[in-house]
Amino acid sequence: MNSKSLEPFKNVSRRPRINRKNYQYIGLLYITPWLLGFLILDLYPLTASFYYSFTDFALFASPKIIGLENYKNMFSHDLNFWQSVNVTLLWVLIAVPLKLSAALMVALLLNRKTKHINFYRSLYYLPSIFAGSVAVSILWRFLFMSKGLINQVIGVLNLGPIDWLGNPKLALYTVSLVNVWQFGTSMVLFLAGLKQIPSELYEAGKIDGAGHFQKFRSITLPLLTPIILFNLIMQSINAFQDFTTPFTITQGGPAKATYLFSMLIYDNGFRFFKMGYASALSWIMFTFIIILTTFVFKSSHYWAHYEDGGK
Amino acid sequence: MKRKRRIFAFNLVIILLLIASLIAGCSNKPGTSDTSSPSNADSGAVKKDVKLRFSWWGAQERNKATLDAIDLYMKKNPHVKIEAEYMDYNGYYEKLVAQLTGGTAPDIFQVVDRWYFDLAGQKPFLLDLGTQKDIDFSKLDPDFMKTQLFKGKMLGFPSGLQGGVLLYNKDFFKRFNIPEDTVWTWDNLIEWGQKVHQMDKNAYLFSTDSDELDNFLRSYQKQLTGNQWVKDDYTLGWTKADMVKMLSFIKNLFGQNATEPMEKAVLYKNKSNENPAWINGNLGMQFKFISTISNYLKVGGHNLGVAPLPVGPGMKDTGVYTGSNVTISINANTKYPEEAAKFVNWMHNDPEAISILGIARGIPATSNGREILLKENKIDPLISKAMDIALKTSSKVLPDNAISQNQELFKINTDMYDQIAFGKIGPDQAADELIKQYEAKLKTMKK
Repeated sequence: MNSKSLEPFKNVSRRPRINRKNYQYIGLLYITPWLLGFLILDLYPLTASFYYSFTDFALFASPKIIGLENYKNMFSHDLNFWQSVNVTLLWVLIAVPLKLSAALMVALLLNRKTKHINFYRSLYYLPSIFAGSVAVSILWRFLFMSKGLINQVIGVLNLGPIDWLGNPKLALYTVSLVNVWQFGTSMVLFLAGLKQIPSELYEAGKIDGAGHFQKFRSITLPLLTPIILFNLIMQSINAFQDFTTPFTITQGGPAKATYLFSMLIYDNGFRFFKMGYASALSWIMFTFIIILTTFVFKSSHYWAHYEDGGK
Repeated sequence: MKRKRRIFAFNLVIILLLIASLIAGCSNKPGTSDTSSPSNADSGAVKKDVKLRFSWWGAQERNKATLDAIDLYMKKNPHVKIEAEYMDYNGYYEKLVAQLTGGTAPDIFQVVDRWYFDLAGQKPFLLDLGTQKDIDFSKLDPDFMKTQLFKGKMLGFPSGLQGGVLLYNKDFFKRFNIPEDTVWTWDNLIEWGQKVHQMDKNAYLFSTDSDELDNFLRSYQKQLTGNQWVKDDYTLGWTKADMVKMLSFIKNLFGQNATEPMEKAVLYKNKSNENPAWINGNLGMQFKFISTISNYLKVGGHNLGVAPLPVGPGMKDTGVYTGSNVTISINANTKYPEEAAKFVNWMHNDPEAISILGIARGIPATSNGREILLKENKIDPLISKAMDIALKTSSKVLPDNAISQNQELFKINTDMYDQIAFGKIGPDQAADELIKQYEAKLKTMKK
């Protein structure tokens, strides 16, 4: 930014008559609705759920404090707990790397100056706009049914039919494909990251005789690591909380093969009306996500590259 | 300075308005507020305008018939406006519970009687219809009425009758030389199933999923024990030996290829009429509730029959479920209990309403309802026959008590049946596991 563009701001600060104190109050007042929204719709439920997690709260009756009982039950009695922890970890391990690789691949393809490139970029972003849409999930379900499009296509090649959603060994992978398909947000960030990489580096690489793969490995990838870190964290957090798409497609079945942690919370909260227990489960998930995020952050010192050394 | 103050004041007003609207938006609870308002619309000479909300789940036919009936009622009672809120069954109960606890539930809603346990617990959400003089119960069979009471209260008007039967494809039976008058037993079902699959690798005699198996096994359990699934004193209505027997039935059903593999059946849970294998005539028979038969009648080119449920030696009860299909309940917090009661009564007792609603909620539970629809040929002969079969052998024990119908116990069952169907666990181990989980859960329920 040059000094010219700063001029209007300079004028503002030079105005002598503005009472600074008053000015701050106005600012605070302006954000009051949002502040209230945060307090009422975010902070209050958060604290309330923490309180409820120590209670037996049947939704139809008033909560009864039972101490750590919910947390104890979860680890010792609830078989579904460990089942859904396993499924969720597997889900995150499959869905996030696949999604990020897909996003990076498409971003590389779209990072060039050709005609209509903006049209293609919008096109590839479309699935993300539909993300979480029930209609898309149902459509996806139809594709993978026993007589669905996918089985008809592989039927032409004399393969299948495969029980994509009915076989407990396959269902989780099938459902994670929908997730991968919704790579738009990460792709846009990757694209922005790619644009930031100075072209001199590629030119230098070219002079040194680097091939496409070498350029990608030694220039693109290291310089993209901050973006990869950001995407990794955001997508992992999202993946841990995924609910709508898997629930619409499989409802956690077959034989609990896709029974994610979010579904366990949902079942306990809204099917069995054990709000206290569901709150405790949510807090366990929250804690787990925080620990994992911290871990990823800490580990990033070893692999994320910042031009300024990360300071 | 003055100008600045004016701007500040203006800002303050705007923001306070925003906050006020936010708070107003959050605290508005229609339905529960203002219970003191006059509810008797009849008392005045001029009838007060009344707005009622009515929610139900259902397929297109039920929706259309109900909307038509509502229109007619509003035409006849211009002071009443009824807002229809209808949706799919999936998520209906969860939404209703959220609405009831949040105070935004409709005035009238459709439920099934197994929800009474939760909905009529510590906080009574459902009006006792017995207190409403505008509702006429005289056309319901007194014995049937008794089965519909929950802790002595009439919490919903039963709209239709329900029963369990075997629904079969006559052409399939012909193809595999299965006599239509076969008396089905838990054993010969598997024997015939094996034969069928040996003759044609793509054909299966039976098809079912874990939700349906839960009901099917409850019939089996009644025959074996004559008990409720969980007795009123929170003890199990079956022994380990009984459970092993029942779970072995599931294991053999799937293991001997008597039924379509779970991998395929699970995709058509609650809508096996859309299962391509059934549509193509490669499945022979299913266990069905009578209210769903009309969906199967719509599948083209099928010639269908109905048969009684499987039986076993030394039965202690027939195990054939008969009861209400759905019931219509009134919100205990409605502003207009009398107006709501009048509408519920009209829906079930008025000849015009009966004719419009047809069998959208099953064969009517009222005697005049059945008479009118039979006269108008609105009950399909197959459905009528199915109802006769079920009523003739009606169980003395079913429907199960409220404890047995707890949703968490239901999930314990269906999870276990899934595991067996997928061959992940054997009947003996599964029975032990089931008992362990039941005992843990029942202990918390008993408190």
